[in-house]
Formats: sequence, C-alpha cells, structure tokens
Amino acid sequence: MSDIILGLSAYYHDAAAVLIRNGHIVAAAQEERFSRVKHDAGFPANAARFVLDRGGVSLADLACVAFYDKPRLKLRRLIQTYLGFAPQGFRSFATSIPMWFGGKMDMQAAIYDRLAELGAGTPDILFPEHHLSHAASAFYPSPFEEAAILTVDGGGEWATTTICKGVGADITVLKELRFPHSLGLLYSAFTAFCGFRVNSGEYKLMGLAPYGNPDSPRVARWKQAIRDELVDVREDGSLYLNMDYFNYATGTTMCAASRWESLFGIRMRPQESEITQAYMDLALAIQQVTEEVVSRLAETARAITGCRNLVMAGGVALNCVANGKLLRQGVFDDIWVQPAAGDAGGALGAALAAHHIGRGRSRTVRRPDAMEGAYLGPEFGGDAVERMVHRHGASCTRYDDFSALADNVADLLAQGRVVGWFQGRMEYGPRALGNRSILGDPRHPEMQKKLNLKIKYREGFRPFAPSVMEEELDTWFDLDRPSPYMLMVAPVAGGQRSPLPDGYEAMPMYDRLYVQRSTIPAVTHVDNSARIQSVSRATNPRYWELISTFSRRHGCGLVVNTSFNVRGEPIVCTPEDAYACFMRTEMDCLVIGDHLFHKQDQPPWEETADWRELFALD
Amino acid sequence: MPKSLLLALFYGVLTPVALILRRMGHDPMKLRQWKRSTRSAFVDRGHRYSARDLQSPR
Repeated sequence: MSDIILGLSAYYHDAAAVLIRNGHIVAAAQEERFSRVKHDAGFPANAARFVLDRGGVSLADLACVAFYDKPRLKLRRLIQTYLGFAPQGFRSFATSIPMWFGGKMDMQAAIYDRLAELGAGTPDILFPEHHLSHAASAFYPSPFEEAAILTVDGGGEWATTTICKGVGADITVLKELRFPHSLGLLYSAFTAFCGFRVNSGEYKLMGLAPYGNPDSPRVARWKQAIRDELVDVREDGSLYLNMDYFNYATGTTMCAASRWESLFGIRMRPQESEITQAYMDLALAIQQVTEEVVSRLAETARAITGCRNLVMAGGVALNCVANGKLLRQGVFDDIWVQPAAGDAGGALGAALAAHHIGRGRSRTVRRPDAMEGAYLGPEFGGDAVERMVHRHGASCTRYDDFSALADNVADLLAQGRVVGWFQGRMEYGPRALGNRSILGDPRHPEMQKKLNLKIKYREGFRPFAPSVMEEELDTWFDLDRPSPYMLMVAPVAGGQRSPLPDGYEAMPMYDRLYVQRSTIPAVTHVDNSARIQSVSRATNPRYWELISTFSRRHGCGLVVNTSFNVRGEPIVCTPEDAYACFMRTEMDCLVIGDHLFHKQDQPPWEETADWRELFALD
Repeated sequence: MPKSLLLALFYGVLTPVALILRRMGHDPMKLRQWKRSTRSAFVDRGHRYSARDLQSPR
C-alpha cells in the first residue's frame, strides 16, 4: 500500500505544503504563490489543496500529516525566555501569549480545523523538531548515502544551529546551539540595521556586501567590533551573542539601535533611504564574519562525523556567497544544499522525516538528487493559456515546433529584449530556475539597469544571476561542478573578465556597478562573482534548449535569469499572473508554453486600482 | 485576553519567579556565558531520532 504523507509548514513565515508518496516527492508549493501575499505565513490551504489534487488523493488516503515543528516545545522555550529576561519582555509577552491561548496551544486541533476545509479524513499528525525538518530536507533528497548535515537558521524551538549525521534512512543529531544565540538572527539584526526588512532583506544584504571595500580599515575595525561586542565565536563555530545589543528575544525589533549606533558610529538606516558606503562596508563586515562562522561549523561537522560530503538547510544556507567559499575551501569533497532551504522547505523535511523516521521506511538515493530540479509546483496546459488569451483579448503566436520558438526567442534576447519565460511546473523554494523567469542577454551593457529599474522596480544595486548550460559552465565561470539551484557563488572566469579602472574600489556605488567588468556584465557582480544556475538537458529540456539555441545562434551559452515578479510580489504562478506582470512592466515579450506574446501587439492594459499598491515593498 | 490580566501575570507572577530563580543561578538563556571561557557553546545531544520523537507536539 502507498505511504502518502502531507507535509506542512505554517504560522511563522513562508507556509508551504508538500505531498510525498513512498518517499518520492509528488508536489510542493509555497502558499504565497496562490494567495499572492509574499512570505504568507497562514495555514497553506491553497498549497495543500494543490498538492493533494496533483497526487489525486484525499485526506482519507494519507498515512499521516507532518507539521514542521513542535509547537509546545516552542512555547516552553518562550516561557524560559521570559524567565531569563523578566522584567524585560512584557511587550512580546502581551503579543504572543494571547496567540497561544487563542489556538496555537493545541496545534493538533488547529490543524484539524483547517484540514476539514480540504475534505473528510483525520490522519495522524506528526511533529518533528524544526531543525530535524531542515536536516531531513537536506539529507534525504541529497545524492549521498552518508553525509554530515549542517542546519543554520534564526531558530526553531530551542535549536538555532545543529550538526547531524545522516546514514541511510537514519539521522543522528550530534550538537545543537540554542536560542537566543543564533547566527541567523545575528545576520537578520544587521539586515534590519542596514534598512532592509527581516526575513526577506537578508538576500539584499548579501548582495550589498560586495560593494564594501575589502581593503578599508573601517571594515577591519567593524569586524573586530562585531567579535568584541556582538558575537563570541568559539573555536568550533558555536557562539554566544551579547544580548545587551539585541531586542528580538523580548521585544518587537531586532537590535538595540542606539547601542549599535554608538558601536559603529552610524545611524540605523531608514528603509528606502540612500545607501552610503558605510552600510556597504558594514554589510561586508558581517558577511565576512558569517562566512568565518559557517566555515568553522563545517570544519567541526567534518571532524565529528568523519563524512566526506556535507548537506545544508536552514535560512543561512541560502547565503550562496558563504556556500561558494565553503565549497572552494575543500573541507568537504562535495556540498549539496536544499533549494528550499528556508522554512518552506521544512514542509518537505517534515514529510520525509515522517516517512523514514516516523514510519521506518528505507531510503533509495537518487542522482543527481531527488528534487526533480525543484520543478514541483503547478503547471498549466495550452487550454489554460487559451482561456487567458481569450479573457484579455490578448494577441499571441502559437508554435507547434519548439525549436522554432527557441530560435525566435534567442534572436529577441540578442536584440536586447527582455522576455518573460513561463514553462511547465513552478519552482519550489525562493528561486526561479527557468520555469517562472524573466530573461535577458547577459552581454548587454544596459541589461542590469533595465531589469532592475524598468522591469522589477527594485533597488538598482541588486545583482542578477546567470543560467548557464552545463556544457559551458567552465567557459564562463571558475566552478568545477554543477550548481543547479543558484546556491553557489563563484568567480567569473578570468578569460571573460576585463581590467578594472584605477581607483575602482573608491568609486561611488553606481559608477562601480556600471563599469563593464566582463564580457557578461549583467551577471557579473562588482567583485567579479556570479550567483550561478547551471542548466542540464535532462532536468529542464526546454530551458536548456533555449540557452543552447542562444549559444548556437549568438555565441553565448547563458542568459540572465531573474524571478518572474516585481518587487514585493510573489513569483507568478498562473498564466494570468504572468500576463498581468508582463503588461504592468516594460517587459518586451512573454512566452507561456508554446505561445509568444509581443508587447506592442497587446490591447491596452486597464486596471481600476494602482497595481503598485497591491504589493507591499519587501 | 485583557491587558490587566497580562500585566498581573507578567509582573505579578512571572517576574518574581524569574528574579528568584536567577538569584539561585538559573540562566536559561545562557546570558552569563558571554566571553566567559573559550569552551564550546554547543549542547551535546548524540541522539538518533526514532518514531517516538515525532509523535508529540511537545
């Protein structure tokens, strides 16, 4: 009989649902893609409905439901937190305690209430620890029979970092760092201090860090200040934070701003204000400290597990700059990172832990991994596209021959056009990997600026990622292995780089950004690095064929790939979402399945409200 | 939940208990470990997960 499990993450951020059958991932999606509320934390009813439909099952068919943490253990930690800090903490207490008594206390009943909307059936609910969910999401889908497992995030119940060992279907937790001492929360505090939003701005802080001046005495001084005053890093990578500088345990903000302002001598940056060199240097300082801690943790994991391979999950594992450096250090032979490393991926880990640990089922290792390229979400056939076309009176050309479509799109890209690319199943996790992507020519000198300011409406400093066909990976980048999930940063190959002008490090941010640093400037960050997605023919044949056609016709086996959305909007899910995003922005063309849309052929786009107000800035 | 009840719970019950426990050396947040030694901050667990670990929300 099939062993079918529904995995859920909810009620913190990035709610998601996953369905597995006999350990094989059938479907996975974040709730935000359906609700259109970015990082939606509510119960993932839409996502759960989708994964059940995709699997053709009802609640009554499930062996169990797996929730991604232990809520009562989290409550116990909360009470210990108040005992540890009282009389500080009333504001947090007054916010959280009523929520617990309002339903979170009995999470099992709360989940059954919401599951009832999806149909009849009361499957057992299992509750793996939060970091076990992360560890399971990293280990079970990986290509390794045995691996060290490193999970690092803001925090779950007690754990904020764990080192585990995975062998076959077993996971053993060896070491654990506990709240409030958290590398993830340290990074989030800097995210807040530098004027970005916590839980979404960490990626921006990482993108800002390369603008910092690595030779500046200020960066060295601030790194020392971080080590002296904020974080006590022990030799094995474990750490204690100086809680006099942090508010998150008892308040509603991350850091004690006035203390930080005294420590660094700069004001906390107001959101959306100008970004000066000081914040870039501070971003670089905390990025380097984070990399050092991750490196020590990895060395400890290597030493105590004896494993040659490492797998990682938790929000800090999305720090692809740190991942790339770890890979190059060679502490491990190979590293595999769960593409949905954040809390959304907890739903998958919970389901897999329930299957292998809860129900004692064996594991079969799959290569290159068991994630199906992370293409695990909904897909839409030609009928859905035709209905959307009819509804909007849109104009498009349908291609029966995909290679003719690829030829046409490759030529449009080479002409500097920006193309929305919507194919097959939506990605699971925060990155668009070529099925819900916006594409451009990476050689175009103005492409980075155009994409940021006219298509995405986001901060101009933010870098873009390349999707490169696996066969040309080492032509363009110094990376000796595939990076299918955009989770490894590596240098652009020396042969593609251009000499930098004198005084480059001292130039203002945007002057540095627009220096043509390489033959592919749109995907070369200011420090000559790139956040690489390698594309294999086996995993995504259509995307691979498009890039391969671009290479054949125009001599470049990579494209710029950015997620198909505008700032603050979840990545598009349906053809309807894609067409709306296409029409609202200055995107030139759109491909949905076999259909090509040109902007100039479309009827005027009319909306009653201002769409910019639909999405809160992230 | 009325704010008066929350105030009474926090300042009338929880805070006195916390202060007494702290005087007795209770440090659940390990706040006193800051720069105190060079020893590891890790808690050793050495625990292989089993089906029982998943059964309860506690």
